[in-house]
Amino acid sequence: MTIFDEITNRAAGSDGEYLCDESRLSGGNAVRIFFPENALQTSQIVKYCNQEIIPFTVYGKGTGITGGAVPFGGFVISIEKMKNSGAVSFDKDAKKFFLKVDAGVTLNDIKEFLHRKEYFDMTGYELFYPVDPTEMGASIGGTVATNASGASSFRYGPTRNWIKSLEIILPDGEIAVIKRGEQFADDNGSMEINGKHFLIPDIKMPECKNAAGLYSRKNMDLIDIFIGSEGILGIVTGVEIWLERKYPSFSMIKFLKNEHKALEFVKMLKKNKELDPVFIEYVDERGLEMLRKKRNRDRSSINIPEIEPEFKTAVFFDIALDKLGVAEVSDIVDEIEEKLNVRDAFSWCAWEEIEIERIRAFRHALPETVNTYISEIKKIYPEIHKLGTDLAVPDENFEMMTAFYHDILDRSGLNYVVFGHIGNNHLHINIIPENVEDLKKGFEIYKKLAGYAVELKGTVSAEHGIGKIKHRYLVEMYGENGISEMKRVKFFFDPGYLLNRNNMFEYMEMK
Amino acid sequence: MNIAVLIKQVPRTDRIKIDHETGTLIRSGVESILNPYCEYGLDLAVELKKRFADVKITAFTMGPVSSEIVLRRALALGADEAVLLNDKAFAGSDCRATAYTLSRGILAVTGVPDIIICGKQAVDGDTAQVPGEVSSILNIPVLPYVTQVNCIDGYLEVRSEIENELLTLRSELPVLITVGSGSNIRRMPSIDDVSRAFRKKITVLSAKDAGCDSSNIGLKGSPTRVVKIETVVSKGKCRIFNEKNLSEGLDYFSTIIYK
Repeated sequence: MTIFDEITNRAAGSDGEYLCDESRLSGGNAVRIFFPENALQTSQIVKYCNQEIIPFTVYGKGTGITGGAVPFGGFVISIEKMKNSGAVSFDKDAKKFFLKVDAGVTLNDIKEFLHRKEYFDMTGYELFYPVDPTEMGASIGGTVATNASGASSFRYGPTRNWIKSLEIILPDGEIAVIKRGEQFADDNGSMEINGKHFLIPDIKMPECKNAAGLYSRKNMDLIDIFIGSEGILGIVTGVEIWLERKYPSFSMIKFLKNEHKALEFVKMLKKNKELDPVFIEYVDERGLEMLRKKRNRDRSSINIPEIEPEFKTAVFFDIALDKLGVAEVSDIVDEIEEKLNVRDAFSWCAWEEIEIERIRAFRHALPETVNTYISEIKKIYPEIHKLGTDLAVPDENFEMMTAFYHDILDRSGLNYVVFGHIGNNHLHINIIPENVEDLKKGFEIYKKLAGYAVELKGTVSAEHGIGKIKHRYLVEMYGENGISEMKRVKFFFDPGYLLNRNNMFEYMEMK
Repeated sequence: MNIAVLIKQVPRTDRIKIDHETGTLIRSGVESILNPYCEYGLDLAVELKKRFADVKITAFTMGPVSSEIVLRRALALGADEAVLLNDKAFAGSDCRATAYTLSRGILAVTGVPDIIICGKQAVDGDTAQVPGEVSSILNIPVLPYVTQVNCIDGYLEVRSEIENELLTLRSELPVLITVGSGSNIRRMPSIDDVSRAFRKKITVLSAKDAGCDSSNIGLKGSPTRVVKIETVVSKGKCRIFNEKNLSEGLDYFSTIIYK
């Protein structure tokens, strides 16, 4: 019996399925697609690929936006048939609940599973998995590979913080189970796996939210080298995730007259020790204007009351009501408004699920609106696409970064909107090219912005990852030496360079 | 002017499923909201408060302690006071017992107010009986399916939409109105509204506090027996006219609009 008889597989069709992801990166191709149902079958495919020297690419749910899942030759290993969920269990030492799931289970599946089975902790709170990268159709395996985050990582941190253990197929086909808290790098940066030693990459990661490059910290946990590695060090087949109590939420939008006031307001929200917001998000003047226009054109598309015209920017934040009640939250917000002299600004609040959803839908309407707008321009200039930044910088440099954004973009005359995770100093600047000339100009500006973020000790990618389309920015961030350090680790795990080629750095540069 | 707004907490109808064997709603795991028609009623009350001086709005609901959340919404959207009728003895109330309990609550807190505003029906039970029964218990007139209100010379004048007719109706006070439609963009309270709403003490009344006669409340006071619930499919007929019989069509059309 060969893997071809034992494991579901088919030829890669011309339909493009499993050959493209949300990055719309073109040219994806493969020979065969395999659908293993468990770790053992995955291991068999990987061993076969090693034996026959066939490159292989792992495909989760294709929701990534940097082409990480797009294959260029060889086999595709889809994890979609690995769909089992275990039962919720309690870890006595950590005093936390956790859930074991197969890698192909989606975030939506987890949400529904926990809701349907009505899992509660001892004090009667519902349990939930706090990682919410907006795209809930993503597979858990994919989110581990990319260390997915999203708005709520402001309070809860990215995927990394929620992983208890991983079942991984190493690039040679061996199955490894890695539990957090068991193996660490020694003081020289040496780590052991399956009896062999390697040195962690000698790089200095930025002190802000980051999804660019391999993870490296003094005395780091072995599990962390795999999380966010964009799949280049192994295939995740099973995951144990920590669960959190779901507290009632309080959701608020504060409209302010200008960006300066908004930044001040955000700073105060972050400084306050009691609020501990789940997220702090932002929409700038251009973004808000775009939403206003959309609402006025089609009332049913954005179900919100009218926003008074003198208010130009919006700050969104959610509070989990664990320590504070609604009255206390309103007191604190009131105090902040008083201090900043923004009592005249207006706000919308929600504490019922249906209303919280309404605010969430409003917040998510902007990226959708931008995409619709771009697709209209694409009808005239098919080569046009959105240029969205994913840059973040440490707290102390955020104001310089925002000043730079506006300075360079306003002078360029390009159309753009700013929104995103302002709590993490992580705004998504969306440059909207109206023609081919704009696109060229946009690229130049994008490079300058990325360069400046690096100069300010930030990251070129805070959550989307490098994938196959942002290699040069990773070089800009870590330099050739940093890239060599990461390649050295890749070579240790995968000397034949067969697994997920071209993710994070280029295959041809491999030495 | 005293206005009482009667509100109800209902399960989200976009999430709820129906048990086809018993014909009842499966409520478990479905979060609750303020009944949309009650919210339209509240909006009308707030509109009156904006237009006339000395208007005081009191929101009433009967239900479990968790109903507090809809009373908080009512307070945030403009109600001045909120009353929760909460007692184990109220469990199992049908429309009659509910109307009785609410009426007793109103009498205990405000006496007969100038205007009582109700949603035309709750979207869970859809019986539309409670408003009429309250008006009957309190012996005041009822104006149904109201969309607009105005106070003129001590009268309440309303615009009422009943099936395919638009009526302008006028009544002396006190009066009860039921509200059939409103803005489909719900208002959003500000942080100041929230601060006020969550600081307000909600008055909680037991059966005894409301002066209820125990034979008229809960299961005991509920004569309704549901025999069967079925979905009624309306069978409208569509007639199509084209260039061949256009004049016949026009004649038919004119008989309808002048009917």
